[in-house]
Amino acid sequence: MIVTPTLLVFGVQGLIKLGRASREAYEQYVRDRPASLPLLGTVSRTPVEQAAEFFRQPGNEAWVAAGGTFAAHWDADTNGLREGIEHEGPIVAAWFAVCTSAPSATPFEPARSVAFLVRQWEGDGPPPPWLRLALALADVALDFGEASPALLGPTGTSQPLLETLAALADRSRALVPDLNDPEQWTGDRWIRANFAQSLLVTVFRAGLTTLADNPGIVIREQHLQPLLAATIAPLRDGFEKAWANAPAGAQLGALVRWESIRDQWLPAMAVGAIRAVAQDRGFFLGKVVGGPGGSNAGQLVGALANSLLDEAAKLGGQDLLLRDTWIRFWSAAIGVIAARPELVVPAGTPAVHEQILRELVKQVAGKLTAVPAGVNRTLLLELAATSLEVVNESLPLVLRGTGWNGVGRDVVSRVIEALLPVLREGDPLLLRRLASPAQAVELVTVVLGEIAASPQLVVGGVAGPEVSAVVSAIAGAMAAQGAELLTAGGWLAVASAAAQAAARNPGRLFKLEGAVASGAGTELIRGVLLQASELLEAGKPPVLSGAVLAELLVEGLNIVAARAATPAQIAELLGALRTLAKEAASPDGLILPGSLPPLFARIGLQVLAKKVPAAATVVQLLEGVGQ
Amino acid sequence: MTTERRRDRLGRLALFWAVLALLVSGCAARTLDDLSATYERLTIEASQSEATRRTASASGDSMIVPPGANLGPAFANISREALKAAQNVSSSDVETRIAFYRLAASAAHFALVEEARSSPGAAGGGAAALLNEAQSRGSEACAQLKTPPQRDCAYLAVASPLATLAASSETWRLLKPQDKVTQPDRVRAILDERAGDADFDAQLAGYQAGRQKAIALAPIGASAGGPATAQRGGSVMDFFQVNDARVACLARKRADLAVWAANRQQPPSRIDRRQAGVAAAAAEQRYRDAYGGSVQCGTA
Repeated sequence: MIVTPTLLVFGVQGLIKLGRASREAYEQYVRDRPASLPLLGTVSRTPVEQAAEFFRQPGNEAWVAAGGTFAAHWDADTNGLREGIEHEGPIVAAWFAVCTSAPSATPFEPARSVAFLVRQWEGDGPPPPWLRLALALADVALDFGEASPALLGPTGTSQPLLETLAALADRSRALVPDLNDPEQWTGDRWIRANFAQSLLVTVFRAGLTTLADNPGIVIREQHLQPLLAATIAPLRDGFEKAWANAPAGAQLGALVRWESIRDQWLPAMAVGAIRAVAQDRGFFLGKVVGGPGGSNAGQLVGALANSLLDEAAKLGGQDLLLRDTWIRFWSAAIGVIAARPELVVPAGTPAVHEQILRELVKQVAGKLTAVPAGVNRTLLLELAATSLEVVNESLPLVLRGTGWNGVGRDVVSRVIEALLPVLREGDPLLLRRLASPAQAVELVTVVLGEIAASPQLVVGGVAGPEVSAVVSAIAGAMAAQGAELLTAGGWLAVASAAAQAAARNPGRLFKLEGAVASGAGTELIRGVLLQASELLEAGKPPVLSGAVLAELLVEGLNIVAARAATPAQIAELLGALRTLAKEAASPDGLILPGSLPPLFARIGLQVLAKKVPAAATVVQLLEGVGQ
Repeated sequence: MTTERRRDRLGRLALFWAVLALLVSGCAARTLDDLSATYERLTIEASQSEATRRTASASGDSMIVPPGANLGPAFANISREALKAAQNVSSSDVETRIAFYRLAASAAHFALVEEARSSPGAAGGGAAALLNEAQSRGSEACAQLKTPPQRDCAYLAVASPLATLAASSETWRLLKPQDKVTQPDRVRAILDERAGDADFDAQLAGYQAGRQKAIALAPIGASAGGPATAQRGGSVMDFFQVNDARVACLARKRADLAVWAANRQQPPSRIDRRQAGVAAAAAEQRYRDAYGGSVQCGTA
């Protein structure tokens, strides 16, 4: 029988209809396939024992039989050495002497494993490969049958997924051995074939889970096929390579390792791929990145999968949280590739694209590896994934399709670099100011969202530096004196205002000189926080704190975003604020603390316009704005 | 970016983790397929651990038996899960129930051996109880069928004595006594503790009885020829042939150790060296009678 994808699909559907009978057929297959049974342990042999064993072998017995050269040392009843230490030396010497002339007679037992793979029945062959695959897929489908009946059947939403896997199984010999050739599925080849089959089954289970959890998802085979092939192929190739390169006796270790990678990584990778297809089907209809000769979706996803699995191989099975975060990074990257591939891969050939995607993962992995001990790597990776997603969501749609010059990669890298200094464990200043790691993610979301939404930053290629500068400034300020007077919510508001101000004035308000944040925005934030701290230390009422402080910072950033300010003018602004704050801190002062932010907004603009002198008294300042 | 968009993004983040958690928990279903796969993986690890122990034993102090991988609890867990799963199989599906019992018994075998290795001389842990339950329930199920599954029922017939023999020999089968570093009384003590005359004879007899029962249950026949060398996909008879050879090797090893110790110290001895040698010769003869070739026990 020639197997085709259609036959395979019909086979699975037929088995699903059979329900329990099908499950029993699968159970029977599982029950009757070869299983390892325990063996007794082998023994170690001393030279004396090896010598004795040698003389017990057929052909060597004459040496110790009655009348033989060494008969005096041999006990015929026990078929072993005579008792007495005086027999050991001569028999070992004799063994060496005889073996030297006939080395091939040395006893040897190759079977040293602890278990033996045993067949259930003699004579009956296994079911044909295509039926085994159909049984395995139907068994997975039946798990979902009761809970989600709409998934299954010829018109069910799982049909495209099943058709995709059937097509992959039949057409792509690179993934699964020929289903028409039982020879490819027997003997030592069985292990590799079975591994390949298990990849399809794993993806089917993950896919059905996704479809069951998201009934609105619509997928088509032609969209899904290149993407799933690209996701599965690196796993299959990785295992094949490990298997081929493993020294004799260590091949099964390679199997164990790659089964573990499969179980830990593939389900979530498949989910990410399917969700990406559902979100942007147009991309997977064959859209090419980089013009004629550029990459298709499968090539890009394949390159990304390859890189991710390289990291998986290094990670091992211990750090589950970091693994899950890598998988989230994968989903974010796939989402970006689906929606705006130019964000991560500018124009070029497939080879160039593959190199760029490899570098994206390597770059992030490299930064995670290079960070000092104690830095929260999982949070950094989470921030990298978030950065990709936010850049994707926030970039202005009107610019879609123009050259992004890989701004996504640049931003991801810069976010990690900017936050590294304040994420050290033992001194996690950033986290001390925020309520939870999730707020660190939100902080990055807020900053990136504002900056990435500015066309001039993206097109001008300065989004990355601007993000670095703002994130560094905010992170640095959160670690500075006075930062504790602001709530977590307040910091998020300040970050948003800072990002907005930066987006309106690229390269002006926030700068990075080496690793040090500078610029008018940075100076303003630093100065306001310092004043708040000094006021508190002087024993004055904490009028510059909490919501008032947050609003003041926001208003201050709005002022410097509206008018270009020199460092000297920032100092004047801060001088005016000091005067106002002291008055607000006075129990019978002219200013109520709550009115400080709007008052500062108005007075600040007057100061920058030189309509009011910075050294003015509080009365003069108030008169300057008509109060 | 609006608050709604932010909330939406964080919501999707939560959904991602929920789906991931569901996938991970979904992988934990304890089917025969799943349990078998885990068990097979563990046996591979156990084989690698055994190879390491042998290498260390061959190169180091003969009295030091290096520890194996700590796989006992994992094997015991599979055994427990398989016993539990067997109870849930429909009463009409006896073959599948038997398969679960076979899996429970073979996993318990490894757990029992590791218990013996990690705490020699200690009273049996939970693995023995798991093994006994799997064997007795499995044998009952096999008796219900006119044509019992060959491999599973043959193994269940011999599972308990095979595991007992394996556990009792675990502390001494890799010993390589040398004159300068090994104390004969220690060798003798190890043998006495685990393989005294009465115990070892009973274990050998138990194995033989189990083997005969297995052959009677499943007409597996005996083929002439040398010991099987294939490590994957052999028949039930291949399995017994390898074990029969190893039984003979264990008997010979015990006799050799007893003679070595006796040659270096004065009696009294609790092991009759002559009786040990005769038992070894008998086991070797049984092997020759069954398979037509001589036993080979390895070199190092």
